[in-house]
Amino acid sequence: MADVTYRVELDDKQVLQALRIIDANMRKLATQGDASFQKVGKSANVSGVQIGLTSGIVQELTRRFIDLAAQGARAFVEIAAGGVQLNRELEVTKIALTNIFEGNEQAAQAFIDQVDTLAARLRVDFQELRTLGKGILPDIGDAQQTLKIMEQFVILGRDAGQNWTSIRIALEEAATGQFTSLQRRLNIPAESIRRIKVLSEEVGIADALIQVLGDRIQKAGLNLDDFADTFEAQMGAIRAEGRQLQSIFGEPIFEELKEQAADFLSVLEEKEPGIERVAEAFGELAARIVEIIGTNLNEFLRSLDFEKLEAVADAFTDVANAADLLASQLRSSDINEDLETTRTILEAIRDALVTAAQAAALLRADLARQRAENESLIESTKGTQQEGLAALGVLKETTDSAKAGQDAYNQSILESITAFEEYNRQVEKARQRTEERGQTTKETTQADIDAGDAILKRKKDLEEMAEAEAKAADATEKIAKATNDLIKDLSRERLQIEINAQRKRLDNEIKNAEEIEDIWRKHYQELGDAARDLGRDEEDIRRKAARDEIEIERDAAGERLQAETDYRRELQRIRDRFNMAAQEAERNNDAQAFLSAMRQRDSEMLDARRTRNESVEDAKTKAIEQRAALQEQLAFELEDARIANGRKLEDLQLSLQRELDEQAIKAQRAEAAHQLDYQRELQDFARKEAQRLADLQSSLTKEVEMIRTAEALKRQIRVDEARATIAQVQSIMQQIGLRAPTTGTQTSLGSSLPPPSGRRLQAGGPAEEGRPYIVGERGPELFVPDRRGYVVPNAALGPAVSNISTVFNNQRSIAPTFNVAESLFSDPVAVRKLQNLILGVMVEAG
Amino acid sequence: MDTNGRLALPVDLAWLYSERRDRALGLPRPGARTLALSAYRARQQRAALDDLAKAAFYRAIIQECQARVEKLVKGARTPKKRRKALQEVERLNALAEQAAAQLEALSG
Repeated sequence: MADVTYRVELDDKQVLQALRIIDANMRKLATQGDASFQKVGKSANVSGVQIGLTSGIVQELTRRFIDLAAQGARAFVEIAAGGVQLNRELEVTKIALTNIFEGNEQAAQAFIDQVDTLAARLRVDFQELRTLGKGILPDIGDAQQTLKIMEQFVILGRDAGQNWTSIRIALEEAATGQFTSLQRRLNIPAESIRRIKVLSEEVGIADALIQVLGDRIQKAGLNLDDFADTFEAQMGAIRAEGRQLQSIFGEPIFEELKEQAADFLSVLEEKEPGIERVAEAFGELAARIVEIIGTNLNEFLRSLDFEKLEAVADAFTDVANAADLLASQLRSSDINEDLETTRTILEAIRDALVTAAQAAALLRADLARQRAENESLIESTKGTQQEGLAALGVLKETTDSAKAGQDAYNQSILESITAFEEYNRQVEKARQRTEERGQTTKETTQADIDAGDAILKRKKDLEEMAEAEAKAADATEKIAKATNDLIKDLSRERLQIEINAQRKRLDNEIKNAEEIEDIWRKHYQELGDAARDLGRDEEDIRRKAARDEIEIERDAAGERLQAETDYRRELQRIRDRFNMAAQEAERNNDAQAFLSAMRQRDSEMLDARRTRNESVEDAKTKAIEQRAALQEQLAFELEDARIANGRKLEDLQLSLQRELDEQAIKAQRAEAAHQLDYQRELQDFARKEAQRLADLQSSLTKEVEMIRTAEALKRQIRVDEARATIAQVQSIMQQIGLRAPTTGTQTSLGSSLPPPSGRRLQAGGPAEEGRPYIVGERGPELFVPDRRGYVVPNAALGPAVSNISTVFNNQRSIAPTFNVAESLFSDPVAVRKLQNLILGVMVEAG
Repeated sequence: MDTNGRLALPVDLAWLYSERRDRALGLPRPGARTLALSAYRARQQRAALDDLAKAAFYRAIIQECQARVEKLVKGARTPKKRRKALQEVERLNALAEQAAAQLEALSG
C-alpha cells in the first residue's frame, strides 16, 4: 500500500491554539527536565555542591561549545571555502600566465611576483590584480608596461572615487582601444582621450596610455608614494607568526580539545543529528575532558584550570571571531577599505593566538603535573582499586607522585619555553629565508622578466605576422574577386552599351518609319481632300449650271408666257376693235364696213398670231442659245476645276516629295547623332576600363607589398626566436653555473660544455631527421638535421680531406658556435628541436 | 563491611576524613593517602559525572528549546508569522521531548 500524505490547512485560531499548547508543554518539559536532572544528580552519589557546580559548568560548557561550534564552523567553512577558491583562482591565473608566456613558468612567476608587489603598494587585492594583469597582458604585450598601466589606472580610479570593478572595466576596455569607460569612470577629459588615440597610432596603445595618464597623474598631483605601504610585509609576518603558533598548538591538550570539539561539532553539523548522538558526543567530550584532566572535574574546575580552560576557549573564540572578520575583510574587494581595519584584525589574531598559546602552555603544564601525579598514584595503588575502601588500608604514602607531578609541570613549562623559543627562532629563520628569497628573486626576476618580454614580443610579432598574412590572403582573394567582378562588369557594361545602341537605332528607325507613314497618311488625306474638293467644285458648278438652266427655262417660259399674254391681249384688243367696228357697221348697217372690219380682224389676228409665234420662236431660240452658252460655261468651269485640282495634286505630290526628302535627311541626321553617342559611350567605357584596371594594378601592388611585409616579419621573428633561444640557453647556463655569458650574438659554448650526447657517425651512415649526431672538425659538435641525410666517413674521402666528416644533405653544422644566420633558423621545428636538445644537455650536465 | 571485615565508609567520607587528618597533622600538602583516595573517588565519580554531564546537556537543550519557543510565540503577532513559527516550534518541541525522554531514561 502506497504511503499517502495528508495535508491539512489550519486556520489562525487553530495555529494560535497549537502554539499555546506547545508553549505550555515546553514549560512542563522544562520543569520536568529540572526534576530529572536533580534526580540524576542525586543518584550520581555526589554532593549537592558538586551537582550544582557541575551542572553550571557543564551547561556553561554546553553553551560555549554550541556557540563555539556555530562560530567555529562558520569561520572554518568560510575560511576553508575562501581558501580553496583563492587557491584555485591563483592556480588558474598562474596556469593562464604560464600559457601566455608560452610555458615559461619562471617568467609567469616573475610577473606574478611583480603584480603582488604592486598590489601590496596599491593596497588592492592581489588576486584581483593578477586576474586583471592576466587579462590585459596579451593586449599590452609587455610586462613592465602592463604593470605601469595597472598602477596608473588604480591611482586615477581611486582619485575618481571608483571601485575596483569600475577600474577593471575601464582598463580592460582601454587595452582593446575603447576609451568610453576611461573617460566616464576615471574622469579623463576628452582632450586627453583624443591625445591617447593620436599617440596610440604612432607609438602603440600602451605607450600612449602611459604617457598621457602619467601626465595627468603628475598634473593632478597624485603622489605615488602615498600608496607605498608595508601592508604586505606586515600581513606576511603576521601570517608567519600564525603558522608558527599553530605548530605550537600541535601537540598539547589544546589540540586534543580541538579534536574532541571537532568531533562534537561534526555531529552538530550533520543535517539530522539524533539527540542521542549529540548527547553521546557531548558526553564523550565531557568524559574525555575529565579523563584528560585525570582527577574529578569538580576539583579541576575549582582550581585555576577552569580559568585557563576558559582563557583558552576565549582565545580560541577570539581567534575564530577575528578570523571571521579577516575572512570578510579579505573577501572584500573594495580597495577603499581602511588599511587600519585589516591591520587591527590581523594583530588581534596574532595577539589571540599568542594568548591562546600561552594559556594552552600553562594548561598543558598543569595537566601534565596532574597526569604524572595520578599515574604515579595509580601505579602505587594498582591491585587495590577494585576493593574501593580497601585502598585506605594498603595505600602507602609517597612523595614521589608529587615530585613526579612537579617534574612533569617543570618539564612541560620547559617544553613550552622551548617551543616558544623555537617559534621565535623559526620566525627569525623565516624572516632570513624571506630576505634571501627576496634577494634571489630580485636577481633572477629581471632575467625572467626579460625572457617573458621577449616571449611576449615574439608572440606579438607572430600575431602581427599572422595578421599581415591574413590581410595579404584577404587582399589576394579580394583582388581576384575584384578582377573577376571587374571583367564581368566590363563585359556586362559593354554588352549593355551595344544593346542600348541597337535599341536606340531601332527606335530611330521606328520613329523614321512612323514619320514617313505620317507623311504618306497626310498626303493621302490631302489627296482625298483634293478629290473631294474637285467633286464639290464640279457639283457646285453643275448646281450653278442647273440653276442657270432653270433660270433660262424660266426666262424662256416667261417670254413665252409674255408672248402668249401679249397675244391674248392683242386678240382681245382685236376683238374689241372688231366688236366696235361691227357694232359701228351694224349701226350703220354697213356691210362693207362689217366685212372690212372682219377682214381687219382676221388680218390683225394673223399678225398677232405671227407675232406671238415669232416671240415664242425668239424666246425658244434665245433659250437654246442660253442653254448652249450655259453648257459651254459649265464645260469651261468644270475644266477649270479639274485643272485647279490637277495643279493641287501636283502641289501635293511636290510637297510629299519634299517632306519625304526632309524626313530622309532627318533620319540620316539622327543616325549620325546616334553613331556619335555610341562612339562617345565606347570611348567612356574604354576610359573607365582603363581606370579600373589601373586601380586593380594599384591594389595588387599594395597586396604584394603586404606579402613582402609578412615575409620580412616572419624572417625577423625567426631571427628573434633564435636569439631568444640563445639567451635562454645562456640564462640556464648562468643559473646552473656553467659559464657566465659573453656579449654578442656569437657565443662559443663548446669549450664550457661537457661532451654532448648524441650518435656518432665517424664511420659514416645515414642520418635520421631530428636526431642529434656528433660531428666536428675541431672538436665535438652537435648536428641536428631537419631531413634525412648520409654521412660519408673521412676514410672514404681519401687523404686530401682529413679530420672532416662531410654531411651531404645541404645542412650546416650548427655547434659549438651559435652563428646567428637567418637561414639557419628558417625552420621553426628545427629550432625547437635544437632548443630542446640543448636544454636536455644542460640538464644532464647539471 | 568489606571482605576484610572493616567498615566500608563512603569514599567521600573517607576522603574527607583523610583530608581533615592531613590538615590536623599540619602537612604542607595532602598526603599520599588523601591523594589516592581522591584519585579513587574521581574514578568512581567518572561515570556519575558522565551521566551528570549528559543530563545537564539534555536540560540545557530543553531550556534552550523552551526559551526559543517562548520567543517565537511572543514574536508571532500575525497569522502568517504564527503559521511560519508553528513549524519551527513543532520542531523544537519534538527536540525537547526527545531530550526530556532521554533525561527521564537517564534519571531512571
